[in-house]
Amino acid sequence: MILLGRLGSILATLFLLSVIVFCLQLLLPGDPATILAGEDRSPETIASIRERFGLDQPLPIQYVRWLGNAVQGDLGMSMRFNQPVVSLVLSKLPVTFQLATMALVIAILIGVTSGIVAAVYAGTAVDQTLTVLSVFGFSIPNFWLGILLIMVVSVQWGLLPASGYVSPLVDPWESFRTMLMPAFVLGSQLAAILMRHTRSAMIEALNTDYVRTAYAKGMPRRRIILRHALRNALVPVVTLGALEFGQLLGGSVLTEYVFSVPGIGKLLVDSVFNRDYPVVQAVVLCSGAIYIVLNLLADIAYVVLDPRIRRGRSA
Amino acid sequence: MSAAMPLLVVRDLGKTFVRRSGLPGFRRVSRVEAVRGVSFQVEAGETLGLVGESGSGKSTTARLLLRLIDPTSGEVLLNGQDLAALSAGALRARRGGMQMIFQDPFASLNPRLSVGYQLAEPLVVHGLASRAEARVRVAGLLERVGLNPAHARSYPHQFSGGQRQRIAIARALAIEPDLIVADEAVSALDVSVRAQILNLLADIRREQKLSMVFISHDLGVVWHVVDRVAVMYRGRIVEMGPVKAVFEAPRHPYTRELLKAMPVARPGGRRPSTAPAPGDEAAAGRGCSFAARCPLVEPGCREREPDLVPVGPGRTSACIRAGDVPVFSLGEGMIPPASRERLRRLQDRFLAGRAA
Amino acid sequence: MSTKAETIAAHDGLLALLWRNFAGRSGAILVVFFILMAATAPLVAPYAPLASDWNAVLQPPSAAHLLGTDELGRDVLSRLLWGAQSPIVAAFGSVALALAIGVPLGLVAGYAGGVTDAVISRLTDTLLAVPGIMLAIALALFLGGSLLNATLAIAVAAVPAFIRLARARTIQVMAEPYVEAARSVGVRTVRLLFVHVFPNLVPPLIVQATLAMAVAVIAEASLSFLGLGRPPPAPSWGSMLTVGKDYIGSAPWLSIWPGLCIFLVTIGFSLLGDGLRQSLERR
Repeated sequence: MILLGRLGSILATLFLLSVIVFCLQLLLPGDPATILAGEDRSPETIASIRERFGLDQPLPIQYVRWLGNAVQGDLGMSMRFNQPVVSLVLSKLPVTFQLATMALVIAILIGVTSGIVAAVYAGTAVDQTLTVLSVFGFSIPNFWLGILLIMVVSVQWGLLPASGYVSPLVDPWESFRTMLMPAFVLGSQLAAILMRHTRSAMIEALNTDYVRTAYAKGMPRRRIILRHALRNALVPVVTLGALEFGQLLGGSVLTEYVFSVPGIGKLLVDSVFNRDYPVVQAVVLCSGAIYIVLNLLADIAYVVLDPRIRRGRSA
Repeated sequence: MSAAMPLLVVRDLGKTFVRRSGLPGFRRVSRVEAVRGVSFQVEAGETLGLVGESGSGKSTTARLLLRLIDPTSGEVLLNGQDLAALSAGALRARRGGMQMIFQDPFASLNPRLSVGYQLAEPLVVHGLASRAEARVRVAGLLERVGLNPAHARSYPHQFSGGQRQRIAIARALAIEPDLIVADEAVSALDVSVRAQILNLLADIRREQKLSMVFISHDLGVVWHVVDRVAVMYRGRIVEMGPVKAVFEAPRHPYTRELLKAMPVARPGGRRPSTAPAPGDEAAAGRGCSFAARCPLVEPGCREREPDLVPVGPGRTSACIRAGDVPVFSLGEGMIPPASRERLRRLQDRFLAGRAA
Repeated sequence: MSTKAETIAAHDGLLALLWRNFAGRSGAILVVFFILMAATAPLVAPYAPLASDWNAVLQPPSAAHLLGTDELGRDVLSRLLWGAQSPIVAAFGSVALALAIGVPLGLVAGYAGGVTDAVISRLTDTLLAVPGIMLAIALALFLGGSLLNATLAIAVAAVPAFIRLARARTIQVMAEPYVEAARSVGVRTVRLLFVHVFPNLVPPLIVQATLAMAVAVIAEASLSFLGLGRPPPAPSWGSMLTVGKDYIGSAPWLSIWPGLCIFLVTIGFSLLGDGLRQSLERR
């Protein structure tokens, strides 16, 4: 029942998002019909375009037209590829999804483990080094990191390919090799964030009376750390949840471009270079929608998992 | 008492809080009647105590008096003027008639503003003084409450709890109100500091003929400070009268429970039976709200809620068995009667000495 | 009468706060260094940033050109020094703008509650749904490429976070007893917000602002990298990387130095923010 209310607010947000995306094109200087006409500037073409797209109608009506089309899955045609925008975007989505998943796994592995280690050795040189590294990971521009890695790993050492994409369905190992560097770059920032959160969560957990008693009772250190590590390490990962995905989507833009990975990030960059406005709008809309839907799923999961909330009132 | 109009008249004051939870379309609404049908009067120069356990509605009443929150029903008349009828601007001006001292000395002063600024603010806001004049008056206020005027430039965290409460008192006095509402003004202070602050309040009340509404859950403090007392339970006043009479011969079972629960500072004294915790949201039945915990309860109690009726000279009670409430003796057998008398005489002499 | 001994006065200057810990110190030094770089570039740079020497194209670092030359024969070092202007201007400009818009909105939302709050929060949530860099890129694209538009785009992407922070802190502060006390004394809304509430918003806002500047630097570099920042041939670190990307094997010096600068400025702001947060927590 609460979910129905959530659904309503989701729709409101999506609606607002669509308005914002629509309004983007209002920022373009010049006449939209001329822009859409592209190369062919003859008055007849421009006039027919104006009529076809209803560009002479008042704005709210234009918006409703656009929205109506959008809901049916039509977001216009890509000016560059002469392909429906929606199918273009959807075709690139799986690649980005693969990249993001790999990045997430890497981020969790690196971030959480280093967070635990830093917490266990809190205050020592190990901790300080790791903390410094996390600041680095957070501050380094991902496209520069990508360039550096290509420079070293691909050009100098020839270990991994600098670009290209192989579908995991075709050749899983090659797919893994091509994606490893971009996934690492994409995940590095997230790893830094996770490391800090895990570290503070672990430090807090290690200082609880429960743990101190266990230690005093003679429980081997490793067992304590492991038991608590797993439980507490998952907490920041879960709480950051959908936020992480938004981060990854954002980071994918430049990372995919640098490594020539054909996902929606690279699509966005190419469209920027091509001034392919409808595609840019669609990617923005799509990314926002994904984030919103993920949030909704997370809320659903939360409600299902926590019976107190389901009942609507805590005891 | 003179036949003149009482300074503060509260009639049938009520406040119901509505909490809407859940999302649009699936709201749950819960109503909490924090204050119901509260009526009392305070004469000029008089101090009325308002006692009760937490959740009884005392603090809500305080805020209703100052119109920090709006009542759902009833009226508050200060010097005969109904505060509800005033516009926001006039109300702000009228608020000068009443000021409040809050419970937490650490939190009722803005940590980022200097003490002098916060003391001058009431004057400046009400247009009673220019900046320069305000500075002089602030110095005077600080002296009045026993602090060094040079510290006007200091910040709250540089003072101790007792000192901050003095500052709070100074702030309340700044615009020379007719009535001060003290909401648990000493509850957060150490016992030794408490006495100082209470003495300060007594001095000020005497010098400036201030009226006061003194709210507290601590009956021991109330005993020494107020002239009359009103006992609140679950948002209603259940007993009211001169403090000595009410505390020695309570006419409502709840008052007696409160008195019994007072901790007595004597080693070896038996801990009194603890009253069951409040907050049991028993469905608001038709009868007396205290029926569930009352030792004197009888079938008639659950039929209708008793009204506040006179049960003696200047005393009222909301209990149908008011006459059956046993007399209360401080310490109930813990202090031998002869010592008790002596203690009382000492207390009276002390209070009389303070008044001199 | 005694006052409590306090080593930290209530209103330490900003500088004192910065200096108190290692992170703050190093961050401040880095940031100041690059601000100076941006300011003094015209005086210090050995060559004009647009001057091409066609005889010295893609030269590795040498005595004549300390950091080498690019594909048009321009001195990398000079372009690097001049290139500091874009990120610095973008960082301060966008954050200042985002503060100016976001803080009042957050204050109003937190204070007023009800419908106002609902509307503002809904707007904020919507803006936050799109990844920041994507929003900035889209805005910069539609607005047109220039330093000003890039700054605007970054500001818009940064606004929601400030609204959120200001709103949350306002709600917190409004629940404090001293706000109620001020109201009981007769303080009106406007004065209440400016004098009582706002000063208590400042500490977390400062921390957030410095971190936002770090993000803004990377955002400006990203936008420049995509050609959406200061239009060529004006030098900016991001656009230098655009070129460098094509010469990774043959002229690595084109990529290393601009990226390093972006990296250092970002670290500078991050450390600054961390340092401030630590200093403020300890109070």
